[in-house]
Amino acid sequence: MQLNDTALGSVAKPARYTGGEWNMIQKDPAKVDVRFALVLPDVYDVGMSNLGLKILYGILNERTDTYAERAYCPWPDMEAVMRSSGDLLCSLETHTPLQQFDAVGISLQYEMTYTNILTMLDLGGIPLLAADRSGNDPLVIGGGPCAFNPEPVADFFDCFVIGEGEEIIGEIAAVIAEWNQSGRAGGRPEVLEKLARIQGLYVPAFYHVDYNADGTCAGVKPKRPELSSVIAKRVVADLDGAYFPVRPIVPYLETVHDRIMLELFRGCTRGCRFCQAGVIYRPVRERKPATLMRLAQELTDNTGYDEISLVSLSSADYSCLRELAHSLLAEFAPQRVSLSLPSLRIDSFSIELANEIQKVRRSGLTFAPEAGTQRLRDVINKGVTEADLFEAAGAAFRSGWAGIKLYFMIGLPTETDEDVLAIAELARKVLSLSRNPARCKVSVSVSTFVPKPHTPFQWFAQIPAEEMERRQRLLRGALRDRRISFNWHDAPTSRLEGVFARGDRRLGKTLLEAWRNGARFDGWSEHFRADIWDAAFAASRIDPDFYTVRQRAAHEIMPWTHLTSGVSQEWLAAEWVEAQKGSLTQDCRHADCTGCGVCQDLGVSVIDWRA
Amino acid sequence: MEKFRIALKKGEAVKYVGHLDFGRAIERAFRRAKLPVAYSVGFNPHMRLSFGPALGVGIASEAEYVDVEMSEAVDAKQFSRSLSEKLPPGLVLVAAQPVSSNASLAAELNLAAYQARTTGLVGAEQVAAAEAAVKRLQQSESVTYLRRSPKGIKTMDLKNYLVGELETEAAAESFAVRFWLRMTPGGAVKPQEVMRALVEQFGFPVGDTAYCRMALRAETNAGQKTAFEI
Repeated sequence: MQLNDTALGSVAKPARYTGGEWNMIQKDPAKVDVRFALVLPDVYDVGMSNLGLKILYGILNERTDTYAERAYCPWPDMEAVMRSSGDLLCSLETHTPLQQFDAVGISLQYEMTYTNILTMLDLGGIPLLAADRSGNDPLVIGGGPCAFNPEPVADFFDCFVIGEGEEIIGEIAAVIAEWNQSGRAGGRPEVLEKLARIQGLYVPAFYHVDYNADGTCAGVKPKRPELSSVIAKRVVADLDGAYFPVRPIVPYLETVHDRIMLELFRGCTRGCRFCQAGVIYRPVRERKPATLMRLAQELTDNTGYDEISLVSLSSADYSCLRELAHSLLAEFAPQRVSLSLPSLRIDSFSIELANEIQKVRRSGLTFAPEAGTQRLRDVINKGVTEADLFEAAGAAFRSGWAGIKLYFMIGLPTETDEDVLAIAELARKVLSLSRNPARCKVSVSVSTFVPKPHTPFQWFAQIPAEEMERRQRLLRGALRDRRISFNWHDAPTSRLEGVFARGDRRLGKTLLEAWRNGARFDGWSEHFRADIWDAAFAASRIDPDFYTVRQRAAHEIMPWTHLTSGVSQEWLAAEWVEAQKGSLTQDCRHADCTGCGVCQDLGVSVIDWRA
Repeated sequence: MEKFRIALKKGEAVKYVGHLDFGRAIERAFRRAKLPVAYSVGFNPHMRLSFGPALGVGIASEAEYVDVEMSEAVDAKQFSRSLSEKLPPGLVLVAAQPVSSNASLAAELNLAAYQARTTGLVGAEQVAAAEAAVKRLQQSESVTYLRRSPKGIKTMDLKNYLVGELETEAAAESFAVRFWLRMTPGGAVKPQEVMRALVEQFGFPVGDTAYCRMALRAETNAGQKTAFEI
C-alpha cells in the first residue's frame, strides 16, 4: 500500500518514499517465482548510493523468475508517522509490505546502522528474531562487509552471505524458487538446510557458540557434522567478465553519490594494517580498459548523468589509469560528461591526473596520510613519506587548487602524544607550501581508529573514549590557526562501533534493548543517544569494555574465526608482529606474494592488466 | 538560437519531487535523448533551460512549462519523440513548440489554477459541510491566514490571492475544490493554505487531500494568455 498524502506531506524529503525513478524495474509480481526486497538500512539518500545493491538489483532482475525491489530506512519523522497510522514499510517498486517478500536481503555496510535493521523489520511486519519467524515470513539475509563478523546481529538473520554477491545471489534465488515451486515443502528448516549447502552461505542458527569462563569465545561450531566448520567467502575470479549494472536507477533526490560509479577494479593489496576492506576484498582484480570504456558509454546513454566517478578502493592504483583517463576524456568531454577520481594517491602522478581530468577546481583535493609521523605510518604499513605528501601538496597548490583535505586517524596502535601533535605539524607544513597561505585552506579530518575483524589489528585494544577525547583536545589545542579547519568523530560513537565490530552473539540482546528504548540512526550524531546505549548495556549485563579496550591474546578464538576471507589468521598475526616492529610489507600486486593465503585458498589470482 | 517551449504533466507518482530535483530530472532526460541543447559558456557550463513558476512539493500538475534553447535546429516532431521516450515515469510531454518569444515563464505566468481533491469524507453530512465551508469562505470579505515559519509568523489575507469563484465537485469517493491563485512579486499562497483555512476557519471536514495544479496563465492588460501565447 502506498502512503497517503497526509503522511507524505508531513515529512522531510517525501520523495525518499515514493520511488518511480528512471530505470526502476517494473514487473508483474504474480508472474515471478521469487520476490526479493533489497535493503540498505539507512535513509534513501545514503542507501541509493550503494554500488553493491545496484549490482544485485540488476542481477536478480535479469532473471525472469525473480523480481527484486528496494526499501530504505524511514527517517525518524516518517517512522513516527507510520507508527501512528499503522502503515507497514513497503518496497518502492510495487508498494508491497516487506513481510510479503520471499527474501529480504540486507546490506551490512556499517555497524552503526544495526538499529535501523530492527526498525525496518519491525515496520515491515517481520518478527525481529529469526527464531520467531514461521512459514510465510521472509528469509532475512545479510551480506556486505559487516557480514564478516555478523555475530552481534545473528539473532535477527536467517542467513548471511560471506563475500561477493555476484554469483551466490543467483544460487540463492534458485533455491528459493525451487522451494516455492514445491509448495514450500519442508518449511523454513528445509530451505535453510538447502541454503546452507551453498558455499559462502552461513546459517547462524545451525552453529552453536561456546564461551570460556572469562567470557571469551571458545568456538562457533556447527550443530551437525555435514555443515562446514569454516565458511570461506565467495569471490568473483573474473571481474572483467562479471555482471555490471549499466541501467542503474537514477534518483530524483540528490543522493550521496549522485553520479555514474564505474568500478575499475576490486580489492586492494597495499596492505594498510587497519583496513578491513583491504583484506576482505582480496585479491586485486581489474577490469580491462576496453570493458570500462564500453560500460562508461552505456551508463552515460542509459542514465543521463554528467559525471563518471572512477571508483575502487584505491583508483589511482589502476594499472592502466593514464590511458583509461585519456580515452575517457577524449570520448566524454565532447559529450559534456566529466570525470572524477575520488581516491587520490599521495604522489605527483595523482596530481597530474587530477589536473587533467578535473577542469573545474571544485572541492579541493583529499589526501589520507592517516598518521602524523613516519614511525606510525610504518606501523600501519601506509607506504607514504612526508616528502611524498609535500611533493603532492606542492604540486596541487601550484596547479591552482586552493584547498587540501587531510585525513588522519587517532588511536592507532602504539600511538603517542608525539604522533598526535605531529598531525598538526604536518598540516601547518602543508599550508606553508601554498604560495598564498592567507587564501588557502587546509582541512584536517580525524577519525578515531576502530579495530576491525579480519585485520592485523583485530587483537588490538581500542583506546578508551576518554582517551579519544583527550587526544582530540590535544590536537585541537595544537591546531589553532584559522586557515586550518579541524573536525573529528564523536568518541561515544567510535566506542559503540568498536563494540559491534568485534562483538559476539551476546550483543543481540543489547541491540534489541537499545532499539526498544529508541536508539535510531546511531551513525548520525543528531540522533545518537549515548544514554540509551549505556542503559542497554547495563540491562543486558554486557560490559562494552570487554569488546573494546581489552587486548586479545594471540591464541584467542575470535567470534568470527569460523568465517574466513581466505587471508589466514597466521598471516594477520605475522602482520601484527611486523606492525609492532614498524616494519613494512610490500604490495603483492607489484612485488612477490606475501603469503596472505587468499589466492591459494580460494583458487583466484591477482589480475593486473599491466603486469 | 532556436528555442522550444514544452508543457509537461507531472503525475501523482512524481509529485513529491521538488522543483530543483524536477529540473535535474529534465536535464538528464535531455541528455539521454541526445538532443542538441545549448549550454552556457564559462567554467561550469550548464544547460540553457528556464522553468515556469516553481510547483510546491506534493502537488501534481497538468501543465509545467520549460523553455529549452537548442544549439542547432531540430525538427519539432523529432524533438517531441526523442524527449518523450526518455522522460521518467510520471512525467509526460504534453506539447512542444518552437517559440521566438523572450518572455520569462517564471515572470509572466502569474495565475495558477489548483484542484484539491479530498478523500475520506463520510456521508452526505460531511459533503454538505464541505460545500458550506467553501461557500462561506467565498462570501467572506477577508480570510486571515497566519503562516508560521522558522522566520516568524506572517499574516496574509487569502482573499488578496484568490481570483474568481471557488468551484466544488462532489463525486462518489471524493470532494474536489477548484480555485485560482494569483502569484505576486510580494509572494504567493499555497493551495494547502487555502484548504487549511477551510478546515480551521470554516469547518471543512478533515480528510486526505491530494493537490494538482491544473493550469498556469499570464494575466496582462490585454487579458489572460496561455504559456504558448506569451
